[in-house]
Amino acid sequence: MMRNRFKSTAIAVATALIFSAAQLHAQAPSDPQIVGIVVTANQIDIDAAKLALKKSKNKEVRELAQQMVDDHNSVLKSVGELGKKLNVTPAASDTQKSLKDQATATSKKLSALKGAAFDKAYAENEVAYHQQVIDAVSKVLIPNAKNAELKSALTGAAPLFQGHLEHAKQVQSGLESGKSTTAKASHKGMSHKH
Amino acid sequence: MRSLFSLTTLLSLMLLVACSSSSPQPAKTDQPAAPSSAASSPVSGPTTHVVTIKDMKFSPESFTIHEGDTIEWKNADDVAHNAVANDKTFATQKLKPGDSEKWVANKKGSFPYVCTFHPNMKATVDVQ
Repeated sequence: MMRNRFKSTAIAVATALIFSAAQLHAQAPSDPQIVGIVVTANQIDIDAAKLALKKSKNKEVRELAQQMVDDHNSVLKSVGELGKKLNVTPAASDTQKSLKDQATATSKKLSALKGAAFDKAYAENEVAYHQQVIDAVSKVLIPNAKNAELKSALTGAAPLFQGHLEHAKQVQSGLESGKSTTAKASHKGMSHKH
Repeated sequence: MRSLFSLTTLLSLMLLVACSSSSPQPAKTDQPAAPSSAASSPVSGPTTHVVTIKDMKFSPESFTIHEGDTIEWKNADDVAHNAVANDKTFATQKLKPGDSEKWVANKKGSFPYVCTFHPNMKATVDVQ
């Protein structure tokens, strides 16, 4: 139990540290590098969520993971369309490489966990990862973006990542307290239209 | 004589057009830009108030309606959202982009609500 807790915390802390280190080493990324970092950061969270959907049976964890797949795929689509419009091709950078390396390590560690230990580690990682993504977007990517539309798109995406952070914190808190965070409200009296 | 007739006809037509353009248009149901004014207007019968979800926000974020009115949440954003009252009085299903859902406000009170997928999205509806 203690060992699992240490493991999951270690994953989250390691993710945070590596992302911070990557930011520190980044030398004012160019617009193509910024797009490359955004694409990679989104794909990493999609991959982690897919792992969670494969391994977890917890309703809240699965709901968070499915949301990450859906939302980050939507962001990827928008980034792809913006890249085409601006004629910007995603470029490699040290930050992107650090992210990929860390994601591989995190995935390996998460894959070794099961049940509640996995759920806790995944939620902690989501909290740490999104906090770092928010910091990176606000402190590195937005200030360095040259193109106004790219800067605006990054600014517009910030509340989405903040929403993910708060949702992940709720799931994490629910797992720690053993209480469900899912709304038990009735859909009675509601009429849905697609 | 013929020209006098034409002039009279023309003047009559102009008068008709002027009258019809100054006639008030029939009031429509409430739209998101002015939910509070519709709520306070003396129009009888329940009103439907539209809350648009766009750019990670409920719009309007805060407004007042009458008991019996309907709220319709329309998701015009790129990702899925929902609207769940803090006290669970109402809860939409997962609204994918383009989806909408209605709730008939059959209970008075102040109802703060959130998108549970993105808890930083908050709004309040007051039912009088």
